[in-house]
Amino acid sequence: MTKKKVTTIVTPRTNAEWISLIVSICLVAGVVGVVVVMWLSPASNPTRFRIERGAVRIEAGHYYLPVTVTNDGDATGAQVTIEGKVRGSAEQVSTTTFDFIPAHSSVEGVLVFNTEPGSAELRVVSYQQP
Amino acid sequence: MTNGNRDSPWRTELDDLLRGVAGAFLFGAPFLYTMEVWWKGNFTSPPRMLLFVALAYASLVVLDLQGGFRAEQSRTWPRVFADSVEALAIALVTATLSLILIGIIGFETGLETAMGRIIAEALPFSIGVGIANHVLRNSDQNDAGSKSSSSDPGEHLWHAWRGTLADAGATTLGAVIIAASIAPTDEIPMIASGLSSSRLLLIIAGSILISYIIVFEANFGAQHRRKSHQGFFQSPISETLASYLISLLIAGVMLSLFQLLRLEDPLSQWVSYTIVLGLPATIGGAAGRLAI
Repeated sequence: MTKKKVTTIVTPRTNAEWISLIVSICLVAGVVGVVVVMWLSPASNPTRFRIERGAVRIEAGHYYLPVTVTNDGDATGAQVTIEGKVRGSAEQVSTTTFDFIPAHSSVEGVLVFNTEPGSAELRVVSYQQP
Repeated sequence: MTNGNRDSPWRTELDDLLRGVAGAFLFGAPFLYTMEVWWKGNFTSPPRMLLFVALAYASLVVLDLQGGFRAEQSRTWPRVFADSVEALAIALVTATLSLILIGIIGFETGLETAMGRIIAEALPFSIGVGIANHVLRNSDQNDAGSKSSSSDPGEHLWHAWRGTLADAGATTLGAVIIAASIAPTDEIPMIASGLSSSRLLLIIAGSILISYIIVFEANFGAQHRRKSHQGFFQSPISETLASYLISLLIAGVMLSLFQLLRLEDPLSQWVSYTIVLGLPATIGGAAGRLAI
């Protein structure tokens, strides 16, 4: 055993050591506590997306519509595909896919249209459960 | 152990903790720049997170028996268990701060995801804390009073030049080893694209601070020899800054070598990519200088 070879130091703890030990115990206990609370709380809401639209910006005749997608559920969605559809004389569809939207997180993307997308219908077309 | 190390218990404790921090970054930096580690955190269930924490703690207990992060070895079981808690706390804090620094967790990240990413990342950081003493042990005995004998100014200048070249070479070598392995990966564009200019400034500050902690504050490796080392790198601040610049240069060279940066790319891309890769590169450079 290697531990026999080294001199045992039995000096009492200094104040500095006590403080860092107490702070460390609090930090580790805090992390473990949060994880345990997450474990025990009934987190069974399925993936649920909310889409918010931002201010439209016009660049070279195209309309850029920023969208913020928030996952209000407790499960991660992968390959989340958002579709924006402008109805009218010329129906237009624009899509974008987000690799991951973790639980209670939000991501931002932009849909680009040729016509004013003020009335665009936004919806999640599909996603995968990782 | 070191003789200048016992002047104040606060100083000793700070040295020990910073040694742990340095070890965490040395071992953890490549894992920090691995998106699979963060992604696993996206869907880690709480029981699995606890398993990760338990595994990290168990590894730390074993590693603490072999070296740990403290200069004075803790050999009684209560000390080993207590030191391992501290090591785990250091790993969690360093992992959290570095994930925040490179923009992987933020206010918009959900709690469960953030915890998953932190805990997944804390495992390699823990191992770094656990081996801090082992990899970078004190070796001051070998070189006591070896360097300061010459009184001839010409010879002194020669020593200075040689010291400077040795430091620069070691920085370059360490930075190349780390930067070459991270430069071709997709993490650099991924991290860089999400960062504002103010965040880039923070990363610069963080890189310099970590590099400084590794070489000068953590009191490990050949650090006392470093302080009496001759060369233009002699002052801690100028050495840290010079080696950061070398690391940035290496990062830029590696990125252009792997064609992530081309001459026609905009300046902002050159700046952000180089600064993002500069963080692990400067950690590698600091490790390189400790090795000589």
